[in-house]
Amino acid sequence: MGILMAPFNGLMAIFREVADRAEAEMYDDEAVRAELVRLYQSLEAGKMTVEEFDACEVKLVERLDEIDRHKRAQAGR
Amino acid sequence: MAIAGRYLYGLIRATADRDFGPVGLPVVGTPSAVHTVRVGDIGAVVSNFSTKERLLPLRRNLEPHNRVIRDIMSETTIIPMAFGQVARTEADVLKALRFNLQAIDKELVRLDGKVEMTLRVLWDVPNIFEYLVNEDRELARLRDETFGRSSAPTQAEMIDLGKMFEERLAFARKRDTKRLITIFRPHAAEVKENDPKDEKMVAHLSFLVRRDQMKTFEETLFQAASNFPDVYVFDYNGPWAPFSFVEIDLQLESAQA
Repeated sequence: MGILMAPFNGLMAIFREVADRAEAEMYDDEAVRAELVRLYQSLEAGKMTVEEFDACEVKLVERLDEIDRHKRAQAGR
Repeated sequence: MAIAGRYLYGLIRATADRDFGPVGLPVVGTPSAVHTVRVGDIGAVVSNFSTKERLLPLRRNLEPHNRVIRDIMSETTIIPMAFGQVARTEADVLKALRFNLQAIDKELVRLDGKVEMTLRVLWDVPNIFEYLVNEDRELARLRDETFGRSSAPTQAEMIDLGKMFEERLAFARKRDTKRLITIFRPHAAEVKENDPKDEKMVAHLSFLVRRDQMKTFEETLFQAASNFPDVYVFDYNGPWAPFSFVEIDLQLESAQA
């Protein structure tokens, strides 16, 4: 018998769904997704304040954005 | 200075202008007012957004995007937009609406009364390679041949083993996805296969489900989960607005650099 996970509409689920559909290709990077998932989990578990989360997230996403731009420039798009 | 840009959440049917309150993406730290921009009975749900501001997929932006769509979805059919659509001006939004009016109308009819459910099925195993080796005698034999000798395997041998593993993984995914689609097809208006983003992911499916079929859809889900072996985890989420089933492209010229 398979295991069924109940639907979960918390922050994590929202992040996952929205990120999957965001046009930002930067989320294709598995390591980065894992890091973001870890951040969301910490926030949801109350191990981190919203302010701490936002600060870490901005750093990570901005770094990604740079990588993404660089890749696009390289690909000549 | 007035903000000319418009952030776009989705498209709805609206015979009068609507005001959804200050629940939109923040502009200089303050939630923006969400309202409609209309052509006939079609309304684009928008909020003011400076095109000079860089729009990054951050929680503080993703959350209002999702919440606006979810709240509207609870009262009417919405064609949800992917995160990140910004028009340069309101005139650009109106132009896009006029140009696509018939297509939007058709899409609203197609998506009416339907929601999206997502299902990710995963192999709950510590090591996917070991799992497939245990399931597949031929793969196990090649693994033993490759590693079973006193000399270290050559690069070519490793590549052969890797290739067979990839083939078996693709085969297992295809087989299980087909089985899942067969099970759910009668209970969904449309089904969409997404690429698995994780090597332990068997399938990632989106279903367009009529609201009045939700109960049978969920019953089918419980039944399916109990019919699959223990290592299969069914992770389902929803209902969402039908993001994966939107076929319309407004072709808004991106205002973001």
